[in-house]
Amino acid sequence: MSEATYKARLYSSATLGVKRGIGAFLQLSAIMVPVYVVVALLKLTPAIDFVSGLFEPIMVYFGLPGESALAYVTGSFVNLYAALAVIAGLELTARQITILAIMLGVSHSQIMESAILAKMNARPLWISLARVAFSFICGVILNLIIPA
Amino acid sequence: MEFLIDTASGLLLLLFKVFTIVVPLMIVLEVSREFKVLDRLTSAVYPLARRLGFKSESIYPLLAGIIFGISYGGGVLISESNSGRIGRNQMFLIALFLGMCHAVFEDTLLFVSQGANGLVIIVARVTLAIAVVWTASHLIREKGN
Repeated sequence: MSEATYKARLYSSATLGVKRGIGAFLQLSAIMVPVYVVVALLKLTPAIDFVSGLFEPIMVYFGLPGESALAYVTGSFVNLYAALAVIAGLELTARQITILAIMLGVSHSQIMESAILAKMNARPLWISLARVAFSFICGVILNLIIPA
Repeated sequence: MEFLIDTASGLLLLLFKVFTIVVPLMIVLEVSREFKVLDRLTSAVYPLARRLGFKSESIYPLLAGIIFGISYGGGVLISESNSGRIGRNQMFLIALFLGMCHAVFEDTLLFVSQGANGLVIIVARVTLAIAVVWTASHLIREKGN
C-alpha cells in the first residue's frame, strides 16, 4: 500500500467517524436531555424519596442507595445513556457508581438488544434472564469484595 | 432561577462528557474498520476463545461485539448468523458472552466519566462472561450436542 492511499484511507475513515460520532451524539442527546430534566424536576418533589424507600430493601444488598434503582430500571428498559443521565442527577459515590456500572453493563437496553439477539437466533429470552440474574449476582459479590 | 442554572450546567457537563467519549470512539472504530484491525486480533485471541468452546468462525463476530457493541456490531452478528456458517450452539455462546460483555470501551468510559473505576468494571465484566460461557459450553458438550 502506498503512503498516499494509506493517508487517504486514514483521512476518509476518520472523517466518517467524526460524522457518525456527531450523529450518534445528537441521537443520544435526544434521550439524555429529557431524562436529566425529568430527574431534576422529580428531585423537587417527594417522588425520589418515595422510590428510594421502596427499593432500599433490595438495593442495600448491592451497597447502593434506593434511588439508584431509578438508574438501573432506566438503563434496563432504555439504554446506558439514559441511565447515565439519571446517575448524573443523583449523588452517588465512586464505589456506588462502579457497582452500578457493572450491574448495568451486564444488563441494559434489554428491549433493543433482545431484538438483535432474536435476529441472531440465539434464544433471546434465556440470554435476557441470564443477564438480569448475573447482574444481581455481580452486584452482591462486588458489594462484598470492593473495599468500602 | 437557581434550579435552572443548576440543571442547565449539570446537563451541559453531562453532554460535554458524552461528546468527548462518543466522537473520538467513533473515529477509532471507523479507522479500525477501514484497516481491518479485527482480522489481526482474531488469531491473537483464538487460543483462549477455543478453550471457552468457541470455534474459529465464531471469533470475528464475537470480537466485533465485544469491541463495537451489539448495536454497532449487530450488522456483523446478524449477517454471520444468516450466512449459516455458525451453528445454533455457537451462536448461543456468542450471544451469551456478548450479553454479559459488549462495547467494553464505550460502556466503561461512560461510567468513568461519572467517577467509576474503569479497571474494576472491565475485569468484572470479562471475568463474568468467561465464567458463564465456560460453564455453558461444558454443559452443552455434556448434553452431547
